[in-house]
Amino acid sequence: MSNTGALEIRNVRKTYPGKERDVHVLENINLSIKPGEFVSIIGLSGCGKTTLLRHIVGLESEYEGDILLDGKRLNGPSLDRGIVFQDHRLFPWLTVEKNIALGIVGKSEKEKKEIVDSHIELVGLKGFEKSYPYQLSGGMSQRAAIARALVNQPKILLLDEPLGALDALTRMYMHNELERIWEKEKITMIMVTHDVEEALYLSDKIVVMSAKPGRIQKVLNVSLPRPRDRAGHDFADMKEQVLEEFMLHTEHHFSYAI
Amino acid sequence: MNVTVDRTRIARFAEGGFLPAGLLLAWYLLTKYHLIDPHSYPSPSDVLNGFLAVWKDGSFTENLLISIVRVCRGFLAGASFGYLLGILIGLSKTADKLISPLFNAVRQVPIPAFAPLLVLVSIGEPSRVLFIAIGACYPVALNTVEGIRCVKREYHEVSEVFRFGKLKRFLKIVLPSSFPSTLTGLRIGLSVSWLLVVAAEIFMSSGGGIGDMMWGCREMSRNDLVIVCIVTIALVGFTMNILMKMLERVFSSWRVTLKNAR
Ligand SMILES: Nc1ncnc2c1ncn2[C@@H]1O[C@H](COP(=O)(O)OP(=O)(O)OP(=O)(O)O)[C@@H](O)[C@H]1O
Ligand SMILES: [Mg+2]
Repeated sequence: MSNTGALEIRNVRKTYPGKERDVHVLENINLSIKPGEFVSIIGLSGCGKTTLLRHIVGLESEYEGDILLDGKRLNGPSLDRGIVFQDHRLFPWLTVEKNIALGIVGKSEKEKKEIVDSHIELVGLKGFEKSYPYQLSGGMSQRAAIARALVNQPKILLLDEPLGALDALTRMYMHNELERIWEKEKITMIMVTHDVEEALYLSDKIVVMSAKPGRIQKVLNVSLPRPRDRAGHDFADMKEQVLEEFMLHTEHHFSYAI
Repeated sequence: MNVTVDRTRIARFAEGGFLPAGLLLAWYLLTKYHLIDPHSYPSPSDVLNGFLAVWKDGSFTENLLISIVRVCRGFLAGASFGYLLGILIGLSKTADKLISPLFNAVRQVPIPAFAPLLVLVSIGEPSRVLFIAIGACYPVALNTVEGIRCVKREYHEVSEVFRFGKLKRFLKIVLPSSFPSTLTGLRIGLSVSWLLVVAAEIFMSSGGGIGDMMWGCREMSRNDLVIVCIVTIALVGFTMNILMKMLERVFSSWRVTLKNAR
């Protein structure tokens, strides 16, 4: 499968109808993502990051504007886009391997088995094939969910705070894992995160969102060479830049409030 | 860990045994000192002797088996029908609109009220089985509908993202996700069936069974045997409930709840 997957988001606007008044969640979202890019979306809680991912994966069909994948307007979910939900959403009644296998479409049993095995290997869950989700740690569940999202070789993988529940050390380990998977699979990854360092370590591009309604405040390109050095000078500089986005934002809000 | 589980089990068993043991003792004392009329209220030893007699002549086992087979038939028929009905109502809004009002109205009729009608339809075994089946069907249907409606939206979204077809969604998500709820319905349905088998044997008598036996003994004023029947009915019902609970545990082990963690 060719690794295209150019994503073009144009003037997307979304309101959820409400009882009292409509909830305006996304406003004027414009973003283009090149095939194979690693993009992070970062922003305060409730600013619409999950909503944006839901649009890209195709779970929301009522919105204004266009989302184009390789030039074609999205029409519902499709196997060329995988998603790892904020809550991993593994099926609790299935083992890890069955969860992963369930997503595979149009393959013989033998091929399925091979795909499952290779993906379990990929996310480092060997030995837990027969475990049930309740027997896994938070990070292991997320890894299983990542494996499940990759089985149909999507062009784009969406990750909604995949490492949100992890401690700092496991998180760093998972950063390397994610980078490895991204390099190996050569796919576009779009990850929502709250962690500036995480975004900097992994991304080619960081999308900073602001809230109410959710809009894109800034898109920062990160051109640091990989693998990145978290303690490096340039890394620290970039981090300042990103953090500044939030400072400016709060200041703006403050003066507005007066 | 197993040890502690066993210990609490034994403790719970012992705790549950206090009251029956106390009642047994009180009964023994009341009859021993002739505080109650010994003719209408047999003593524990009378009951034991009565039990040994019916055990030896085989009538006890025979009637018990008849009731168990009968309850199994009624339960299987009613539960299967209830399951299918529950799936239909749970999945289809149209079926829900068409069937639910009638179902909910009929459900209000106490099952014994169906007895006269059933006797008209058929005499003998089919009517007894049908009587039980009616009672078994409700809880299975209701719990299945509930289970299907409570399948998380999140899981439906996953199946959308993976482009599952309707059948795959039904078989791989809706059914397994709702099964614990169905199992609860099955457990309740089986208890109801066991209650109803006794009623069926009394209302539609002369087909054998433990209820029939009890009624016969009552007419012959053999109260010792009536008590044998009552205790048997209680014990069988109790055992069935325990077995069903074990089954529920096995099939919903993936549901980590406080109840399962015990
Ligand atoms: N179905 C819905 N109906 C109404 N409002 C919604 C709906 N889904 C989301 N919202 C609103 O949209 C806003 C953005 O939600 P979203 O889940 O996208 O935030 P988020 O950026 O992912 O936050 P977090 O970082 O906490 O996950 C919230 O204010 C939320 O209340
Ligand atoms: Mg979110």
